[in-house]
Amino acid sequence: MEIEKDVKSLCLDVFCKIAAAVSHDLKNCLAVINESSGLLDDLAGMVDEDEGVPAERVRKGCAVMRVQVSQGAAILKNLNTFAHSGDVAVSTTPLVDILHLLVSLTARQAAVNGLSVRVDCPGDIAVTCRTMAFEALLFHLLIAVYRQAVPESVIGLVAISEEDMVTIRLQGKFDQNGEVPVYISGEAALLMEELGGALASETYGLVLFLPKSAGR
Amino acid sequence: MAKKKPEEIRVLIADDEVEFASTLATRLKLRKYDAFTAMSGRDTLELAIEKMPDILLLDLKMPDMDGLEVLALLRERCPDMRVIIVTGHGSFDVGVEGMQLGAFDYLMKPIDLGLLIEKIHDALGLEMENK
Repeated sequence: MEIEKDVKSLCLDVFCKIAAAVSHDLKNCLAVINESSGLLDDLAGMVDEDEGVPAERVRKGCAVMRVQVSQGAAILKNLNTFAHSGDVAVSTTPLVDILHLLVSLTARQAAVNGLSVRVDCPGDIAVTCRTMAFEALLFHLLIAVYRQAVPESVIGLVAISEEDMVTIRLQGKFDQNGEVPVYISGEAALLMEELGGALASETYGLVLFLPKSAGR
Repeated sequence: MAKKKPEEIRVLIADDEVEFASTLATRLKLRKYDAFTAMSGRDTLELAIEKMPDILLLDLKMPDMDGLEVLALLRERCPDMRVIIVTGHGSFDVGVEGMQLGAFDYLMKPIDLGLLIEKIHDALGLEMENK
């Protein structure tokens, strides 16, 4: 019962962190739309009634706003997908979708260190587990990797299917010697236990072993 | 209260969101302010020291340096520069920390331009020319 409460609490904690990042990104989108529409308003106020704002400026302003609406919609789509991960206790999901989702949801944190993140995962690997707990675990591992990676480097998420296990490698440059500090927070350890997973370090990365069917 | 014309007020907008910074600068220039932009923490420090703006509108989340780090460094190099934090970051603690580091005020995006201009004049202890 206590472990269940802890797992739910950890999932909620990750949800809050992701929601905070999403709200920040959406405010930036709204700010650009606000300024662009304000500029068109300013320009309209400067011309005579029968004159009109130059078409090119209107087109440019509208194009900027369209891009921001599109970006905002993509940000919300990701949050919506993540929020619905908890609809069903245990579900079967394509692993590639989960990895891309978590990379998108942690993009801001990766960008702080100038990191690029690449996903290499076959489309036919599916995992059956408490999806939100798995996503919360990936969140913790990705944030830890971003913090420890050499700035301006590339992080690779490489997934391989092996019988009844999935192996997910988080590869990158962690220091000049290429040594990877083994770091796993208490939160990540609890989530791994819940999922029946294991974590190890190897040259240039961490590797997560996850049963393909970890549902209870 | 002192008076200054907008064209005498130099405003540096520090934000890695290019469209936001450039459009805001354009709108301020339409109102005759001398506005220019920086897209990173390091650019902000360089431009602030080189051009000594009267006001810095500072975003907190920039890719190379945290805005609060920039603020702390500028306190030493440009102690008379007024700073208004303009950010989408919603944490109250960060706002408080910014004020403790010497920021004059803290505005959440999206901003109201009229309110921003009032804050700029307040920060500089100036009477508004046209309210």
